[in-house]
Amino acid sequence: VIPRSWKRAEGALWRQLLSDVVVVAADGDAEPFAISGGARLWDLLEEPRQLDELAAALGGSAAKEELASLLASLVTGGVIDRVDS
Amino acid sequence: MGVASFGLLEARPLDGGQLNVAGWHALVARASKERMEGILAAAVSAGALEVTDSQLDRLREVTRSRARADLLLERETVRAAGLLEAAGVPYRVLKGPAWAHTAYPDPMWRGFGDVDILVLPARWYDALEALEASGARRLFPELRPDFDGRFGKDATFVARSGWEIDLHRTLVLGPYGFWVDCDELLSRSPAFVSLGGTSVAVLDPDAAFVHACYNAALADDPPRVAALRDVAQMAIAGSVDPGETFSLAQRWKGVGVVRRALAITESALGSALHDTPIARRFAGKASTRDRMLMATYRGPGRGYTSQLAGVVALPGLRAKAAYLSALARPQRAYLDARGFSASGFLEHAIRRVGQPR
Repeated sequence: VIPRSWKRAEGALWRQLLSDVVVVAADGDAEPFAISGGARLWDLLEEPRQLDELAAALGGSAAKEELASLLASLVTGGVIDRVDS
Repeated sequence: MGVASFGLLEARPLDGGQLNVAGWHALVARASKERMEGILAAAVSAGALEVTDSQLDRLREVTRSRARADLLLERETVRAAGLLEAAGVPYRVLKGPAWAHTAYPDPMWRGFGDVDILVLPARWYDALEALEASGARRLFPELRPDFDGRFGKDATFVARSGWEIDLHRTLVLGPYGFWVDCDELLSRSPAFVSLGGTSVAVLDPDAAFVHACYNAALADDPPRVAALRDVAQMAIAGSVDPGETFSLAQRWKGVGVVRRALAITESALGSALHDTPIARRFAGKASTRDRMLMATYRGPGRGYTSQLAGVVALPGLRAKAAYLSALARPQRAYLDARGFSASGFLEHAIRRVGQPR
């Protein structure tokens, strides 16, 4: 099984504010995506991270299924990339 | 004003207390008007200001709105810069995204409301063409045919996304705008900021500082608090070379403007700028000529008076006559777009100039 990781897309524009983050892809016309309490997740995604790693680092604040769903949305929005390594 | 100076050296301290409903509402409204929601959020995060849970919720809401607008404008900046690069037009992104990413500890501290880009004057009409070919629409025609290319300051476009792009031929209206040597400015090595992985060219720190001073001292009356903060931020950052900046301001006859910008910034924000190397280099008072010219940038009619004062900076009688004639007799398309008749335009100008300051 190839481990799957995620990291910030090179073309992502973002702002961190309080504990939140707002991100949008520099390409296209997608609307910005606000992640409540997402500042820590965004910090972690500076490097490729696997789901287990992210869930562990975020502690009890994120259930794995919820996190996977959020990551999928961010991939669709073009602000993070899935990295198969 | 306390929030506006948060994070500056020896700025006025915040009282740290909790505001009542009306006080908080007024503070958030003022911060939003000045696009300084990010600095307010930083002050709260640092514990310089106590807030209730509902006040914090409101702060989250306004900072998210600010972030959303700034990010969409950054996307528009990347697009516009790409269009100019593709057309081979030398450019520098000005103000908002440029300063947010170079002068501030966090870009969230510096909000913006449009995209400002300076282009090489000789390529002005090529730049217009590139933007229009992308679907951007110019809001108002030029004052007279060829006015922009000879005397114009900027033109406002609405991009297909709905965001405004101000294309600049120089930095400010009036005499100080004419004295800026934009050919030299664009021949200086740019700095670069990375927006979504794309490098866009911005003014080097010395030129950016002089521009920030022009923006603070000449662009609005009263000056925008955010513009004063830009001056303070760059003055304390230490990336500005005092000698080179003074020399640049001298060549542009703008030493008095920088002096005024530093003085009004220190007075408004209460930050001890006079101890910074850049303020020491510019120590002194503005000359009588500068005080008179800068006065034309103030008051309700400043758009007209500063443009009229521009005549002193134009070389030769022919250019002065062409400029004054264009100001007095705008073309029909310009008047129509602004909803004026020829006589109505002059009456409006006279009324504005005559209004008390």
